[in-house]
Amino acid sequence: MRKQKILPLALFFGVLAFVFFVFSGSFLKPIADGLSFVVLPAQRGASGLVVSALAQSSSENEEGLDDAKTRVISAKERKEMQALRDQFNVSEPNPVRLLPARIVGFTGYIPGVSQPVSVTIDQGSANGVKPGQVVVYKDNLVGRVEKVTPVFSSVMLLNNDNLSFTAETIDGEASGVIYGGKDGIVFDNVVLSEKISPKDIVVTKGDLTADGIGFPPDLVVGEIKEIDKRQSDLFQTAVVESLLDVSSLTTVFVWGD
Amino acid sequence: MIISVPFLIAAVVITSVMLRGAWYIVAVFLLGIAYDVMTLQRVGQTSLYLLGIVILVELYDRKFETRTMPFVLGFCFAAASLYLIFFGSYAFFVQLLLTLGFAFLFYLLFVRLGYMVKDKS
Repeated sequence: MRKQKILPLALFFGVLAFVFFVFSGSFLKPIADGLSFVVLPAQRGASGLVVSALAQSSSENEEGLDDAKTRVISAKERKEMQALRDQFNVSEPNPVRLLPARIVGFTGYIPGVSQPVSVTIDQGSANGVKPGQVVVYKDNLVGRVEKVTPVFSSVMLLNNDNLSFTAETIDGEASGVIYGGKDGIVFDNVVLSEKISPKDIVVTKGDLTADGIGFPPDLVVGEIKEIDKRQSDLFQTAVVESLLDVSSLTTVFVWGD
Repeated sequence: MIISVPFLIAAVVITSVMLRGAWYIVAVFLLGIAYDVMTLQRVGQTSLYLLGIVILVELYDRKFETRTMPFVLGFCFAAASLYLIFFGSYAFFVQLLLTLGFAFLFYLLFVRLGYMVKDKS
């Protein structure tokens, strides 16, 4: 077995992978999209296992495997139902324009060490999701759709350094730019004459395109935690803390038509 | 989760040192494709990279002894570093440490299973 000639075969599959890599965006796209449907059950299964494991570890009394499984499923369903109820109880954003989606993957997440910088949701272009749409939970902004396949979408979270958008304080006194940084969410480019204080709520200013893609106004970004204001600088900067713990969410909502 | 790249790299390096055969090449190819689809990356890039690892291990195996802890850890370190530089952008050092941790654990597991005996043939 060990002396079997595998090099030619490895080279053949290497070339095949290269062809996939080069042409997966063009004429091999239907095959790449079809593969999404093949791996979807595995992805959902793996996600379900993680959720089950988390729920199981938090359950205090073990009363046999069947009972535990029932509790895990009902806990998961309860959480999803609660998310739906909470979301459709808020008047803004308009519930008619929301698509519920389950989070099936976290990128950059180590429990207790680091927060996720993006998440994968189980809704894709087949469900009408487009890159640039925003994802919300209640009236809080979760992130923006970055990549889309027929069944999955990748969502950049607010602490992702590739995401930036305009925002303002809820009273409209100060406006600036939100972007992700090492400190988390940064509210920058606020001119010195504008007043910001700790605990001020920051919301999106509104950045929608004519086809409804982008950031709608008045979605909550978070609460100002620290302010860095120096008279010698042109702008003041603040660190914003999101009111959401994304790692504990299971269901989010894609905003748009 | 942040463990997916370290787990994948460590698993492929250690199994490419241990296991050979046509089925293994096909498995690595399919694993890379599935990983790319699941993580919404460009399909084929991870397969290409993983098969590159397998080919390099095969070439090293012709001249050197690969079933050793220094080779496995060193190769995992290099493979994970390059993968994270090319395709990953977050928590570089954490992922690198996790790769070495997984490689160490897998090595111990394979030693326990009796795979790390030098090839006499």
